[in-house]
Formats: sequence, C-alpha cells, structure tokens
Amino acid sequence: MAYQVGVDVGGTFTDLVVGNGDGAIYKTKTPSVPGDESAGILSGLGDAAGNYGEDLAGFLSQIEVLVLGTTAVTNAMLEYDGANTGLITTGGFRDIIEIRRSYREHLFDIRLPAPHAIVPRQKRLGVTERIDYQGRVEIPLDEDEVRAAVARLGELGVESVAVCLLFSFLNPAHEERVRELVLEQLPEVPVTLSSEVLPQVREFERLSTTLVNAYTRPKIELYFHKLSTRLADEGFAGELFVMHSNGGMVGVDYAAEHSVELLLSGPAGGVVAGAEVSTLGGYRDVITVDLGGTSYDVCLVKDSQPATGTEQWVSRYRIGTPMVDVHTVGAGGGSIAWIDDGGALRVGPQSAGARPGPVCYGRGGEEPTVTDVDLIMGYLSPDYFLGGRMSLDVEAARQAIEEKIAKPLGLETMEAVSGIFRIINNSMSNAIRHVTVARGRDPRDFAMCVFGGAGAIHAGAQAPDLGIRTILVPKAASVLSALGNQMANFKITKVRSFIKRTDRIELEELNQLFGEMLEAAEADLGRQDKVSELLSQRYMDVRYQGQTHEVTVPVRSRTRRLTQLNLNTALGEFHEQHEQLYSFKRPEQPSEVLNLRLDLIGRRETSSLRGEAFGSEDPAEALRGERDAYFPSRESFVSTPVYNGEKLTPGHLVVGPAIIEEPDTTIVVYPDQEAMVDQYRNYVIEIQAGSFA
Amino acid sequence: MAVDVVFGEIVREYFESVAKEMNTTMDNTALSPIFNETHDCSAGLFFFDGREVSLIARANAEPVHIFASVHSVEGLISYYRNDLANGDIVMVNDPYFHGSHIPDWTVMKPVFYENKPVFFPGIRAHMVEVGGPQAGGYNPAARDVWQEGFRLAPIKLFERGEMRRDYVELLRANNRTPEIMEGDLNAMLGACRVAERRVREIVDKYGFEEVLEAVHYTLDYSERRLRSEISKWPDGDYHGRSVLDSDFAETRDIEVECTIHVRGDQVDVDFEGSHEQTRGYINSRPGNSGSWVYSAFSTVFDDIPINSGFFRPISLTLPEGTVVNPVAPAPVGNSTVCIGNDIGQATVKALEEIVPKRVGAATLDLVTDAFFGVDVRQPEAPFYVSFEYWATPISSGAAYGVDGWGAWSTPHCSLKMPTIELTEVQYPIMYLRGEYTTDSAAPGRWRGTPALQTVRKNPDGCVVTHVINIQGHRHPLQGFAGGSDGAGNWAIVDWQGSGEQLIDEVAINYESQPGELILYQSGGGGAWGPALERDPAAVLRDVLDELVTVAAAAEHYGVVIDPERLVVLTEETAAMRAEMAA
Repeated sequence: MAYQVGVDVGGTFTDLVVGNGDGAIYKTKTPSVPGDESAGILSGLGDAAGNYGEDLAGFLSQIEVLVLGTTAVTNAMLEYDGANTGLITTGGFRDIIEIRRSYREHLFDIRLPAPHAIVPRQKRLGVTERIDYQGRVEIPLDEDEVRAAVARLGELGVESVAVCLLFSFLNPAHEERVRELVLEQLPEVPVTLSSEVLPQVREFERLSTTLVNAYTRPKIELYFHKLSTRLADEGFAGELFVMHSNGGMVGVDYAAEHSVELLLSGPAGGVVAGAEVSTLGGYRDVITVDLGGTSYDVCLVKDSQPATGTEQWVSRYRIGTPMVDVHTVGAGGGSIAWIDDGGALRVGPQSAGARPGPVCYGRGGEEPTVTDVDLIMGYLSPDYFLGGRMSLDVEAARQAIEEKIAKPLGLETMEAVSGIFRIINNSMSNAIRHVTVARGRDPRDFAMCVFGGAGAIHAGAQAPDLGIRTILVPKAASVLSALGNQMANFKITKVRSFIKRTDRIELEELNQLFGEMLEAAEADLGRQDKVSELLSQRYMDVRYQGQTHEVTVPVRSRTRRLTQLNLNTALGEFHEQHEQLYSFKRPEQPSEVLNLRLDLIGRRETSSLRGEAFGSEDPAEALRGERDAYFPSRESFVSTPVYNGEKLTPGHLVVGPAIIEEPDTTIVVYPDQEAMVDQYRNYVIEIQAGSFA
Repeated sequence: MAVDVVFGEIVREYFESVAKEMNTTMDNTALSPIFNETHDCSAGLFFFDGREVSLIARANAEPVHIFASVHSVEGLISYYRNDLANGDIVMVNDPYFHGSHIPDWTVMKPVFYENKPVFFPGIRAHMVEVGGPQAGGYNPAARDVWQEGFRLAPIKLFERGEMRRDYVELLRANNRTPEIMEGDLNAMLGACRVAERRVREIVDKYGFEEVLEAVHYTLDYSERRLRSEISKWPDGDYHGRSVLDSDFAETRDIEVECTIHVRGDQVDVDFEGSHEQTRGYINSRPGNSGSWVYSAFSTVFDDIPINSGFFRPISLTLPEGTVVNPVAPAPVGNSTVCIGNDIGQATVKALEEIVPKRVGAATLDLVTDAFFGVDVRQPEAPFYVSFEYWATPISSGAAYGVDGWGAWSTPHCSLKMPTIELTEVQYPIMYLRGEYTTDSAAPGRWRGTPALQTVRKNPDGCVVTHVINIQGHRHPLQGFAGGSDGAGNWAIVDWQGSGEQLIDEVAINYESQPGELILYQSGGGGAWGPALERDPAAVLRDVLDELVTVAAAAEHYGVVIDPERLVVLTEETAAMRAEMAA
C-alpha cells in the first residue's frame, strides 16, 4: 500500500489527511505542540497508522509522499526570532529599508513605532559599485571594500547574509561576485541574492523580500533538517515536500533556500483544495473563505485557478514574490465585541484568541466574542463543540453580552446579539467585496467555498447580502489545508524583468527569455519521478506607458514557442482586462511590458476523490434532535432540527432552517436555503434569490 | 436604536471601502508617477442635503487635498445649483473659486436620487503640468494668480453622459504634456464612475431613506466623539506660532500666529496676528488653510473617523488680507506646503499647550525641484516634466514614546517615494546617494528622524532645467516639549564642481549640465522632550548604528561613550548630565 499524506501545522491544531489510492481519505486533528512541530505531526501519523491497522514504523515506511504546510516562516517574522543577518548593498543606499518609500500603516497615528529592524543599520553596509538602468557597469565593484564589509559582518557574528545591489535584476554579476567574496571568509553562512529571490525592478520591494528570506532561511533550514531526520528515525522512507505560497509543492531543499516563498504555505493548501473540491462539484468560479479564530482569509478562484498576487506584507515587511492572493481581515470566532467612546458597537479587530478565548470556553475570557454570539443564537451546541471534546457555557456568554453590550447601549440582549452577528458578517462581506468588486468582478458570478470551524455558520447569512446563490462546504472543511497539501501538484514560479514597449518586442528575444525561464524552473523542479505531466503557463505584466501598476495577462500558445498571433492576443487581452478592472481602456496609447512570469506545473497522480451513488433524499436517519436557534429574518428563536453530518449520505436534502453538525464544523442552513449532500459528501447549499438570512 | 448603531456602522464601513476603491483605481491607472508612484491625490465621497455639503468618507490619501475638496465641492454645487443633470461630470481648479492652487484639479460626479444630486464621488489630484509660464506648475516668479497656470472656473467636462470634446481640447491646448494629462484625467473619471456604481448598489439594497439616515448617524458620531474629547480640555486660549523662511520674493520670516480658543465642547482656531499677504506665491486660500488645521487635529484624535462631523466642533477665524486668507489676485501656487506647513505647525504648537503627549511632527516642509528637459536617451527624445521627490521626503519626527522614523510624517505618509530604479528608467537621472546622514536627527528624549542626503547626476548629453524652492532652512521643523528642531533643508548645485553654489531659498530655471552633481538635504522633523532625558542605551544604539557620533553623544545628550569599547560610561555620563543641566 502506498500512502500520500498532507499535513498542515497550525498554531492550535496539526491537521493530517491520508489517501491510499482507493478514493477514500482519512483525516485527523491533533493538538500542536508549541516549539516542536514534529511532535504534533508524529502524533497525527500515529492516529493514521492505527486507523490502517499498522504500527507507526510500518505505516511510515509505506508513505510515498508527505507534503507539509507550515506557518514556521510567518512565525519567525511574528516573533522576530530569525537569524543574525547582515546586508551588503550599493554604497550610499543603506537606509532604503528604513526610509520605506514612506509606507506607514496608519495615516494619523503619530505614535506608531518603526517596524522592528530585522537587520539593524550597523549590519547594513554599502560598497562602491553601480550598474545603470540598462544593466551596464557604471562603477566597477570595489572588491576590497566588499572584503572589509564581510570581515565586519563576521565580527558582528552574522549567520546569514543578504545582498541587494541596484539594477542587479538586469545584471547580477556584481551580486554574484559579492557572494563569492562572502563565502571566501564565511563559508558556512547562507547568502541570499536579490537577483535570485526577486529579479524585478523596484529596489525597496526587492530588498525587503531579500531581507526576509535571509532572516528566516537558517531557521527554516534547521527545522526541515530536524523534521526529516526525526521522520527518518521513525521509519519514514518516502519523500518530504513543502507547500509553496503559490499553491504548488516544492522539494524540501528548494523550500529551505527560498524560505520567503513559504509565507502562505499554510493558507495556500486550503485554497488549492477549495478550488479542487469546487471544480469536482461543477463550480469553477468560487470565492474560498476560511474563518478561523482570529482571521478571515478570502481568495478568488476563477476557472479553477486561484488568483495570485504580489502585494503581500508580513510583520510590516513587503514581500514581492508571487503568492496565492489571500486577503486577510482580522475577523474570527475570537473577535471581541466592544463599545467605543462614541457609543458605537464595534466587533474586532482585537481577538480573544484561543486563550483566554471566548467567555463560553470558561477559561477566564471576559469579553464577549463572535463565538459567544454563535452559541447564544443556538448555532453552536453547548455539548458537541469540537466533536464533544469541550462543553460551552451559554449562561456566561449571555451575561457578558448583557452587561458589556446590551445594557450600556440600552438594547435587549437578543438585539445586541444579532447586532454583533450582523456587524461581523458585514466585515467579512467587505473582505469578499475587496477581492471581487474592487477588482472588477461581480460576487454574484461566484459560489462560496467555505471552510474553517465557523465559516459555515456565517456564510449562509452573508451570501444573500452579496447576491451569492451557492455555498459549498467540503466534507473535509475542518482539515482543508491538509487536504490541499495531500493533493497538490508541483509548481515553480519564475519572474523576470523585461522592460519594453509592446510595439518594440522582438519575438525572438521574448521566446529566448521565456525559454531560459523554463530551463531555470525545470532545474529548480529537479528530477521528479512523481511527475506524470508537465505544463508551463506564461504571463506578461503589461501597463500603459507611464503607469506603474501592471495587469498580468496570460500568454497562451499551442507550442513551446510563441507566435506573433499569440503575442497579439495577449496584448489584446490587456486592454480588455484593464477596462474590466478600471472602467476604461486606451488601445490607441502605447503600452509596455514590465515583467515576464512563468509557472511550471508538474502534475502528479494523487488519489482523486471518488464519487458515490445517490441514495434517498430523506435525511431523517441522520436527525440528532432539535434545538432553539435564532434567525435574524424571523427575529425570534425557532425550533430547529439538528443533523449528524457523519450520518448524512449523498443525495440527502436538508431544508432550512436546520443545523448540521460535523465533528469539527457546524453548518447552518438558514430559512429559504437548502443543503444537498453531493456524491463526494460535500454540502451544496442553494439560496433562494431575494431572500435574506 | 439597534438599527442605527449596527446599520450606521455597516454603511460607514461600506462608504470607506468605496473611497478606498476610488483611490486604488486612480493609483493603478493614472499615467504620471505623481499619482501612481507618489499618490499625490485623494478620493472622497461627499453628500449634499440641500443645505450643506458634507464629506462622508475619505481614503488614506493626502489629507491636505481631501479637506480642501469639501470646499471645492461646495463651490461647484453652489455654482451649478439647479443646473446639474445625471451623467454630468464637473471640474474646477481656480484658487479663487473654492480651490487651493492651480495644479490641484477637483473632478466630481453627482449621483442623483429623487431628481436631486445627493452623493458626489470626487477626486482631487495634483497635476504635474498645468500650462502657464512655468513647466511643472510652480512659478516662484509669479506675482499674481494668472502667472501660475491655466485657471479653470467650474466647467462641465461631461454633460448628460456626453464628453465635451471642446473643453478637453481646451485643456489639451493649455498643457505641455497633453497625452499624459488626458490619461490622468481618464483615471480620475474612472474612479468617480466606479464610486457611483458602488453608491447605487448600497442604496438599491437598503433604500435611499435608510442610507441617508445612516449617513447622518455617521456624521453625528464623529462630531459627538470630538466634542466629548474637547470638553475634557480646560477652557482657555492656547497659542502657537510658526515662521516661514521666505515667500521667494524677498519677504522673509513670515509669521503664522495661531490661537486656539477652547470653549466648552468646541474650539475656534484663530489666526489673528498672522503676516499680511505677500507678493510671492505662498498665500493660502481658506480651503487650504482649513485643511492644515483639520489635519493637525486628526493626528491628535487618530481614531475618530474623519468626515464632516469631525469638522463641526472646529470653527476657523482667518483674517482677510493675511497669508491665511489672501485677497485676489495674490499668487498662491506654493501655499499647499509653504505657509500650509506653518499653518499646520502653528496649530500643533497651540495644541501642544493643551495635550503635549499627543502632539509630534505632523507637517512637512519643502525642498522642491520641479525639473524638465528632453530625454535624449530615447529615439524620439520626448519632453518630460517631473518632481525630484528624493529631495524632500523626510518630515517625520518624534512623538511621545517614539523616535522619528521613515520618511514623510503622519498624516502625509500617503505620499510614496518613487523608487530609484524606476525613476532612472523613466527619466535621465543617475542617483549616487540616498541615505540618512550622521548627527542630523534632532536630539531629544525621543529623537527626530535623521536628515536624508540625496545626490543625483545628469547622464552624458543631458541638460536639465530646475526650479528649486527651499523652505525650512532657517526655520526648520520644530521640536516639542523641549526637544530640538530638525536639521533643516538646502541644496547644492554643481556639487564638488567649479560652480558649486548653495541654494537656500530659490533657483529659477537653473540649468544643470551633463555630469553635474546636485546634493539635496531633507531635514527630519523635531524631537520630543529634552535630550538629557534620553535613555543612554538608546543613545548608544544610535552610535552603533552610526546615526550619532561619540562626540555628538556627549555634546547633545550628555552621554559619555568609550570610543574603543563602545559602551556607556555610567558615572561619567551622570556627571556630565548633571553639569549640562546646571
């Protein structure tokens, strides 16, 4: 038997999904162990082994592929426990990272402190050299200065070195020579070159990305090394891969060197699985939403492809590498409801987190949260939270809302409760508008694919507000990122600066550049016997001359080489996309290309989900009981049937109002909504047009 | 009541996201770096209830624009009165018709309900080129408003959905770079259309009356919060002042005097005693003057949503014929910063007397270099006009508990610096330096931001014409609560050459030659609190970071550091600080 395993290590839980080729998957959720990610992973693997009737070593020896999604890079940036890092940069420009192009996160807050300096000024050293805007050497590299700078960094005990020189994306010779000179004196220290991390114009964005890579890299290398060793010690003989922020998987060596590319390693898996599960269900255009304890992550999927973007920030550092375009807002089950100085009811962005957590957890939380509201409304079961592993205190939750919100505002308790519910739903809907309307898309053209513990409680209330008519809740909603890792394909992304007016592009040159990028991507992918099919996708970033924001358009061809017709088609698409995004186009104006992009995707055979035959429509056999739940559209509590999700089978139809309880997920089917269990046991909720929840 | 609190919050958030979306559209589609790299523009959503115009939401954008644009929208509405129709798009830039200076164009689109114009998405943007005698729109030689650029009284650019081609041609004919101007104008129109669509969506969903009610709730909410804060202040008269170096026309040391009269839950901000209007182009029209006052208040109350409700408790007294309210046809071109900054700074200094721990560097002073020429690197050798943003970006400074950092101050940080690399691709320039300088941060308990020095060089064959304006050379950005002032600004043309010359006030149409270097210094904002109270460990950190020398640590901070071992000598420091304090 050959197993394929997907693992997602989060702050609270480690999720694990196993497939063995028969179309069925096994999933498990175990508590994460802070400081030792391998402990949670091994405990999950132990559960899986038991499920298949194996001992741990026996099970591990049969795993073919293990794909890991990790938040280790994000955590290193949140806790600032990366390496002692130095920077060598063009002389006269050592403060680019502090000047920051004047980015400040708050327009009016004069007491906002500077971002934490991951590389303080004393370790940012300039050297004499200069490449010009066409890649020509204007001032040769002063190698003695480089040697002196390296010696200085050595004295300061640096464990990692970043190199970022002006215009290195056009001519990396100086950066490459600096690396040689660093390694002469500090042979053990990893060197990160900006021309390799992000070979793109704009020094601030490239520098920031390069610094984060250098800062996080040694820690990540060590983490992967320890994990591989530990797994091998326990009997693992398969291959370890890592989920990349672009939604594909990469080898562990590549991942360690390119740590900055793992920032969204965790969320990317959920998006990939959301896209895959939705496509299987017949929905190619979806918005994936993941509602966790502290955050709400939204991503647009069009034609089964997750949107990618290059505008992420992490811990106030700009990251320019292409990633799955997950938009995050601070809204979650732990978001706290409060009244501000002006007497307005607000929800979040402060969160009670997992500790002390919501009032109803009984762990000392005193501030009312969204989870408390979900409980009072009857959506969450006081006795069946986390599959019955935890009970919730409704009375404490109700008291907190009454005292902290209802009384001060002069409201009835349930008015306050439904007010909080509406406000949090609205914040989440605004996040969806941000990835759709603000980018020229109409949310009504999309289905919602919902996961995370509480996502499916709120989605049914949000959807009518956005005009969305279908909600998909994957059966594996509580472990969706792990599922995405389990089913991921290989994907290497390359970006290259190519600044050219579109009417002056030489087809020959363009083909050569794309060819070189493909070769580089193939080299990064390495020899992979797991790949069953290779395909490459090419894109260009295009803008009207003078603009500085580009529209990424696909460049499609049926052959390896682009023809003039392929190029013209891509350029034509630029004008159409520009109009869709920004309400106008100017095809008569000169346009220019700024970057070329290439994705190399290596498909692999994964255990695809297998459908089951439909049975009866009547879900009565899964009925667990009834409880009172409050529905805003009815303005009252309604006795509501509660179904056991584990007993629902394909074909079952659950008519709202109803509640479906999965072990780690609750689904609320509102009045005027119907949930159908599809052949993969995913829930498809249809919403009556014009209804409101 | 429940509906008010909850629904009000929903509508407020929605309108703020609309304003954001307008700004994004502008940033992403405009052609000039001044918008798409630097963001010198702003979006707002306005509301007219039949009597007064209110700002209901604004984006994170240059506040000097957005507050002033309320004034412009008021002007447009009162001018057109019953002559606005669905599909109209109107614009104005005239400083003497509710504008601030000629380069700031305000474009707005009325959105009709019940046959009345009710909502007005508007964009105000600083156009790089606006015709007139001087490319780039800054003419230090101007002695009246006609010498500053092409003056636009209100016009309808679109009438009932149809573009007035004749007006567009008029604008093009009065512009040195008509293609770019039209591209930027398109971006502004696009932003207004996007906003109209979004406004209609929410009204369709919730109903017109309901949305109106929520708008009133939102405005009242900000008003209520500001009044509750002001009422905690002791009644009284609080004074601040700021001095402008010059008007570039021989009038020097121009004072702006500000008295804040606190009475109960409202204030009057009174500029009685300020300098009479001058010949040079630094005079500030009321919209601009008010903007700087409101911006200063916004930094003290950074968590109150900014809308017209916020303005209600603040009244202004702007004596006519002074630099804060000049009489036509006084030139005004540079007032959006030069005198504007002093209006803001005088207001902050007055606020310092009331709430010292809530004030800090919140204005900006100026080194502008509007430069133009022909890009001989390109086959068609196009004419270009641009601003040297690397000459002027540092105005942030200290606040209570925080050292100065970054570039532009709160609340002007929505301006973004263009990158060195893209600027060199777009214009014939090579930068040789752009870095903080040692011993330039204003000393204080919390120090200011270090000064930035930038060196640029003309490539072979390139002659560039510059209009350089300097302020803050003799009167740099001020410190607070005993902190020192900033390092100040200047430029040196032909740096290290035979014609080396310090520019500390103005250089009009200076021609730099191929290979010539220009060095600019942009001094940071002031410090907060006395330097002798600075934590010695923080002084040492600055020494290690080469922002402060060992000598300056002793001279300014009274902190004695062993130059070899780079450690603080505690006893010597205590002794030196005691001596300096006495």
